[in-house]
Amino acid sequence: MPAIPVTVLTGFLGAGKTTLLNRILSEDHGRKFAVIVNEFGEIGIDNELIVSSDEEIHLMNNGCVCCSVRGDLIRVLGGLARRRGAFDAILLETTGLADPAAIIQTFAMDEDTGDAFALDSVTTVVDAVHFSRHAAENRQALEQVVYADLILLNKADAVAPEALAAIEGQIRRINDVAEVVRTVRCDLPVARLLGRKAFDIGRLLFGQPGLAGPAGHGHDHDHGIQSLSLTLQTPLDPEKLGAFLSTLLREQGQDIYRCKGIMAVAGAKQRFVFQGVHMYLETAWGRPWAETEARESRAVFIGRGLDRAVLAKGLAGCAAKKGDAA
Amino acid sequence: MNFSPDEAVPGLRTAALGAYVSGCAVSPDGDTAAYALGDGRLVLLDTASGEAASVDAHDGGVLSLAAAPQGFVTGGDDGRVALTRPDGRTTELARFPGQWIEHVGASRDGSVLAAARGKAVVLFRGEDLAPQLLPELPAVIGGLAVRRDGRAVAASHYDGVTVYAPPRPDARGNTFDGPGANLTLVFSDDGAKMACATQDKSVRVYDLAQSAGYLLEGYPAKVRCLCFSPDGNMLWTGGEQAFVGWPVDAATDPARREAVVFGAFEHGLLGAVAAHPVLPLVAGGFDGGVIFLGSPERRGAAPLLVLENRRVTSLAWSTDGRRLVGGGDGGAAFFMDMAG
Repeated sequence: MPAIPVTVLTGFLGAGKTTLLNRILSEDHGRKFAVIVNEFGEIGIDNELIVSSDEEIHLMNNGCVCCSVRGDLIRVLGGLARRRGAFDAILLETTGLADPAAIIQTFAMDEDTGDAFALDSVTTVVDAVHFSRHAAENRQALEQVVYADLILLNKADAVAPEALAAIEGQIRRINDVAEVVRTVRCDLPVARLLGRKAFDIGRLLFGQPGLAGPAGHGHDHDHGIQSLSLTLQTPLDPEKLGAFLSTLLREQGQDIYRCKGIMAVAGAKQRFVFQGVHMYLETAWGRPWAETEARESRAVFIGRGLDRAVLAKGLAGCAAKKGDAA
Repeated sequence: MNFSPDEAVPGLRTAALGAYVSGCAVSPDGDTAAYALGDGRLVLLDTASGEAASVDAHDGGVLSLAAAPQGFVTGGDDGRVALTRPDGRTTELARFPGQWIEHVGASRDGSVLAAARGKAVVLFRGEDLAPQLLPELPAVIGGLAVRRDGRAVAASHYDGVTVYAPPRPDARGNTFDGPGANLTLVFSDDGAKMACATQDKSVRVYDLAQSAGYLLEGYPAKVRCLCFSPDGNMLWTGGEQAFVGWPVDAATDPARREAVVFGAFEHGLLGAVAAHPVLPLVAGGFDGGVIFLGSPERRGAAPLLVLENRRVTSLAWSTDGRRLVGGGDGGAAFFMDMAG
C-alpha cells in the first residue's frame, strides 16, 4: 500500500491559505482530498471529507525541548488511515501561528503516521503586502518560510516591483532552498503544488543553484534567523561526518531549524544525504554519482545565530584522509 | 459476504470485508461476532451458522467498538455513539457533531458504557442509557478503559491517566501522573492494575492496589496493543517482533523485572494481542497478517493462520475462550472456533 501524500499549507494570518485551499479543491484535477483544518465553520470550504484538528503539541520524553509531535495529527491521520481508499491525498491547513517543525517531526517521529502517510510538501503562502511587518513582529511568520519547500509570494500585484524583490531577498536569506513563486490570489497550477515529495530523503533536492544570493548576515528584523549554504570539494569521512552532525544537533539543535545535505563521501559510489529538523536527523544513501560528475558536497543549515566559520571548519574537519578517496 | 470455512484449518472461517477492520469483538453470550469497518459498516456474524450481515452503523468510519450484553457499542467519525443489537437494530446513544469518537468501553454486565468525546468521558448508564458528560480533562483522551465490574472508568491523556471510581457525572476523577503522551489504556480483570502505552515507545503500569507505578521500556517501536493475563499477573504488549510479557505481580521486585520474550517473528511487529480468558495462552497478530498462538509456559508460539492484510489491527476472544476473532487493515477478517 503506497503512502498517502500530505500537503501542508501554512502562511501567516490573512496571507491567502484558504484562497489556495479552495483553489486546489475547485480545480478539475480528478483527485479526492481529505482536508484537515484547525477550525471549520469560520471559513467556507466545500469538501466532503473535512476534519478538524486542535494543534495539540506533545513533547517527547527524551529530554529534548524541541522534539515534539502533534498529538492531534497522529489521531486525525490515524482515523483517516482507516478510511484509506476514500481519498487520494490530504491537505492540511494550519493556523497562521502554527509551528511547522512539530508537523514535520510528527511524520518523522511517529511510526504509524510515517508508515501510512508521506509528507509531500510544506507550502507557505507569504503576504507580499504585510510580510515585512509580520516578519518583524512574529517569529512564526519567518519560521513558516524556513520550513517551506514551496513559497507563494502572494498578492504580488499589490506591491511595487522593487519592494517585491526586497521581500524575495529577505525570504532567500532565511531559506535559499525553497522554490519561490510570485502569485496573485494564489494563481498557481495545482500540478506544481502536488507530488513534490520534498521530504522524501531519497529524493533530496536543493533549490536552483546559483539563484541563491550571497550568504546573508542575520538582520535584527529577521530575529537572527539565517540560511547558510556550504560547499566542499574534498571527499568526507562518513564516520567523522556522522559524529560532527550528531554533536552539532545535540548542542545546537534547538537553534538549527532545518538542515539538509548531499555529501560526497570517500570510498562510496552513492551520495550520502541527510536532513534534519531541530535535533531529529535522518540519513540515507542517495543516488550514485555519475562518472562525469564533480563530486561536491553541499549542505544547508537554517537556524538562529549560526556561525558560518564554525560550521565550515567543522565540516572541513570531516575530510577523509588522503588515500581513502574512491 | 458470508464467512467461508477454510478447508485447511478446522473451525476457521474467513471473509474479505472490503474495508479497514478497526475493531472486533464477540458478544458475551458468544453467539455473535462483530467487525467494525473503516467505511462505516458493522458486520455481525452468527457464530453458529457463519452467516454475516452488515449494518450501516455510522457515516464515515467506525473508529471504536466494545461488546456488551445489550449489543455492540460503536463510535464513529460522524460523532455518534451507537448501540447495535445482535439482530442488527441500531440506536443512537449520543451525537457530538464535528467530533470523532475514537474510544468506547463497556463493563462486563453492560451497566456502564463509556465513550471519549475530545477531552471528556461520556457515560451511559441506567435503563435509558442517557449520555452524561464528565468534567473536561486537561487534554484530549488518548485511551479509555472500563473496569470489568463497572466500578471505574479511566481515561489516558497528556501527562497522566484519570480514573473515575465510581464513575458518576459529577466526579472529577483522580489523576495519576504520567509524563508525556499517553495512549492505549487497559485495566486488569480485577481492576487492581492499569497499563498505558505511551508515544515514547514505552508502557506505564499503575498498580492501584500497591499504589505503585513504573515504566517499561526498551521497545523498538511504539506499542500499539496491550492486555493483561486473566489473573492480572502478566502484561502482554506489542511493539516488538515477538511476544513480550512482563511479570507485573506484586511478588516480582520492580527493579529486577524482566520481560518474557518468545515467538520471535522477523517479518513484522506485534500489533494486536489478546490473552486467552481461561487458558495460559496468548494470541498475537503480527504485521504481515500472521496470527500466532503463544504459550507462556512453553515460551513458544505457533502460527495459527495468515490473513491477507498488511497489519493485523484487532484480535479478541469470546468470554469462554472458545472463539477467536480478528481482522486487519486490508479488510481480511476471520472467526475461529477453537473447538473445531
